[in-house]
Amino acid sequence: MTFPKPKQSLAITVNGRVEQAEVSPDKPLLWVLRDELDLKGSKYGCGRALCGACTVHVDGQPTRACVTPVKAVAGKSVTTIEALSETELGARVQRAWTSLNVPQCGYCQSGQIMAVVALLKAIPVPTDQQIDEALSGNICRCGMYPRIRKAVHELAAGGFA
Amino acid sequence: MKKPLLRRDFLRATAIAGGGMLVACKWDSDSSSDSPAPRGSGADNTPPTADPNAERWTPNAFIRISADNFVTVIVGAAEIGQGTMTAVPMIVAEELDADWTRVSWEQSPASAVTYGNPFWQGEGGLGDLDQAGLQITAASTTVRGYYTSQRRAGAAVRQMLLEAASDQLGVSVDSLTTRDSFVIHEASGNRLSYGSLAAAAAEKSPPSAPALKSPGEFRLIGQRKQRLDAREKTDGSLAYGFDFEIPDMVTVMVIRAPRFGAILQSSDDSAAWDVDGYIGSHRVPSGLAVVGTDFWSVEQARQRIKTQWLNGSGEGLSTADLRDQFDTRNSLPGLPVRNDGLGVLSSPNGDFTADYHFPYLAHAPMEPLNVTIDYRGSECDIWCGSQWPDMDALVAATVLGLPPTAVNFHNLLSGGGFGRRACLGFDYIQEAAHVARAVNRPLKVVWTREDDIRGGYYRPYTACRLSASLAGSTIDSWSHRVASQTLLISPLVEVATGLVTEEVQTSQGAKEIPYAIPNIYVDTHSINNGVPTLWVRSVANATNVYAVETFFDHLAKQAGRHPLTLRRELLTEKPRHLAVLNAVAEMASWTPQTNDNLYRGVALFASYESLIAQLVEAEVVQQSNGSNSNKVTIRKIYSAVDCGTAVNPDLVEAQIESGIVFALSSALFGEIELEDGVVKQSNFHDYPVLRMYQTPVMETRILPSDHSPGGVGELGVPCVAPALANAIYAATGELYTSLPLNNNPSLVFE
Repeated sequence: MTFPKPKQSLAITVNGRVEQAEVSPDKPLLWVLRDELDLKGSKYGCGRALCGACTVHVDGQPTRACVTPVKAVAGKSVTTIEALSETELGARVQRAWTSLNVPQCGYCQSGQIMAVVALLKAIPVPTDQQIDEALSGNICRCGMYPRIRKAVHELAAGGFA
Repeated sequence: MKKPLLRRDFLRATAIAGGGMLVACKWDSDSSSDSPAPRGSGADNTPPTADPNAERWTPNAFIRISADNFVTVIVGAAEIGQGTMTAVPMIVAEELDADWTRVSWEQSPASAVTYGNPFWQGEGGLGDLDQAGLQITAASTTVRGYYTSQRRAGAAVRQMLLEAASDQLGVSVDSLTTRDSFVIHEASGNRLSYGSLAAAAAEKSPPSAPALKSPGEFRLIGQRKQRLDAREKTDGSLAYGFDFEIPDMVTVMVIRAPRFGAILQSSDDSAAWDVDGYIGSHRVPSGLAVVGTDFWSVEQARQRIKTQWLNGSGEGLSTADLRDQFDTRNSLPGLPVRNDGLGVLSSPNGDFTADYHFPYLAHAPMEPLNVTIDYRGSECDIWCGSQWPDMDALVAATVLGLPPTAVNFHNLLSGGGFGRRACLGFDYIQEAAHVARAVNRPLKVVWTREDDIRGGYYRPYTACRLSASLAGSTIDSWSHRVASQTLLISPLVEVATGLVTEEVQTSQGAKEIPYAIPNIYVDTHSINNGVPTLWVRSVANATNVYAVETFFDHLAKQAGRHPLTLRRELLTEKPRHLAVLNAVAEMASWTPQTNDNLYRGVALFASYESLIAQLVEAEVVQQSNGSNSNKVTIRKIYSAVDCGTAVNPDLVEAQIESGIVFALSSALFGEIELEDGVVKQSNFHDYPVLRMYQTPVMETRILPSDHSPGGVGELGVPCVAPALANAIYAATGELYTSLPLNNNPSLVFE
């Protein structure tokens, strides 16, 4: 059996800081962020890349941290919800979320917001279909999809600057 | 309020160090809830710690005014997404005339005596608890239950502040007004902040019957205010139970029975010791508790442990067999719960009959269950997102053999609940207490999504037999028989609710059929087949209202009537029902004469002191591929809501939108199946819930009303599926008697 692989020292860049983690290379990024680096804004919801609550950016791409082995992000740059307000777009998205009362329980919203920021970076003015394609991987059990869609459209129109 | 307010009306105010005041109930002998503040305010999100030297919580408090003029409202109800931490502070701040920009929230300690919802006064059957109300967040009761008591508290404190200002300025109370947390003397231009007056106000006697504002005087109630907990729910800073940590904590997952009721016979963890971070395993009543340093290690270790089980009552149980079993029961008379008219319809013997079937459903809140527990032999602290914290604390104390006063329960904000966190079986809290006894160190029991989906406590499997006869062009008789699994699975609940012989919840939504039909008969069967069941958002209303509203459209068609026309005719005596029905039809521009390429279905329902009518507008196109199936595209869902006074209309709309999405998940594909006692589904790939691309456009209208607030948390759920089925019925003429609709081979949903 190849498991468990012994711990290794891995350098990953998280929110602009180089972090040295002593971890099994197979450990999912989500649990490295939450349990090794104490960044608990990225959530566990399914563990199988089915719900998107764990979404972070790896080199700017939305990535499901719960199924991404930490070794896959060695040398890459990881951004989590905790650092999002440091970017202009991230701060705007968060303003949209609070202004439009998007969150209910809020548990999925870190992942939703990370997915929306990635969408708006790639497609500044997305169509409804592009919104569906980009955001349908993120489950909101409270069902705030209409508000998320509205927020994305208002952001695309330059709102919440 | 349906019941008189009792001792809660007696307030007690005290000055606090450094100025300011604390307003409390007059329960100064009660110290059972003395525990550290469980949650920071909106401005201070620091999670609570177990530090015994931390500032001690003052029991019973529910309004605090600080010297720097901030108002904190301590909220007894749980926040599971519905906006409790905004709506309840708005109610207090309204009567207090507080500056909304300087109002924040705190979660109260677990104590029904102090923080119980007055809605449940007299429902407890537990002595003093009866006087206070249960501290349960369920049945859409938070706003309607706390509304009057919180207004009175706010008004009483305002009166005390006025009296203090009167003393200080040497002017009469009548010459003073209040606005935005200041007492104002218009004549002199003097303005005194509540914070500066609070210490003196604390010396005043609280008025027993403070005057309340008339609705025309409201400044906050009725406004679309931003949620007070929005910021920490968008920047990742809110610590849910899953995120909460205490020093030296270990993580535990439990290997639970593969079939409900099975007993652990033996286990072999030899392969688990390969996993770095595995600490060991302990037998507990629910299975095997696997202990490790962190989530991932425990998950890896758990997969390597072999277990053998003595199969209990679950062996051989398959949901595929339930349809016939439940139909057989529905061939026999049940317990009558309504019998109007001639009473001749003691069995379903009408001209038209339909058997309905509804599957088990899992709640699947986004945050899986978890309990953090620090058991120290003679006392215990628990951190958990709970809809029923006082009872959870009591159950934990019972398992641990501790007096209730030795358990400090810190309720956390939950990542969704939908009823799962008010568990009548108290499964997760009992289990965590057993694990704490076995492991004997600070720990967190975490559930994976698979544990959640397979963990039982489902909405019960339900069958309904509806039968009716027509007289001329209207409905003359109606019978509705329900066979459903009882929710009375816990002796504790029998004690708490007194519901021993009658399962009233199974008839919800059937008994209350609003239509003026001369002969109505409703009876129920309670069936318990060993699968743990629980209320799920809107409980039996979701199934019974589906049956009522779809059967109604079927009868209307048989009678040659338009579903709108017949509803209007049979609701003549129900003006509020009629108003929501007419409003939703107007919103969708739907009349009996409408003739276009869209199909529409409507359903309506009243409960929780609120009413709703919902209308689904759909395209239904017969497939040209010879499959004889219909492609259904939902174009829009309209909702007309009468919830009395809407404290925060934006949050009311959010609840309706949320209910629609929740309902579509179950209407289209929500289903838990068992095969030989084993749950088939496990995660969101085989237990799908609605996603963005499947979510239709929605429009919601709140009808103006001066009635007291009604509940809205569950209101948006029950009518969605029948309105959708009625829209499809309008196209196909097929009565769809089983959910989820996706199981029907003749329907393809876009």
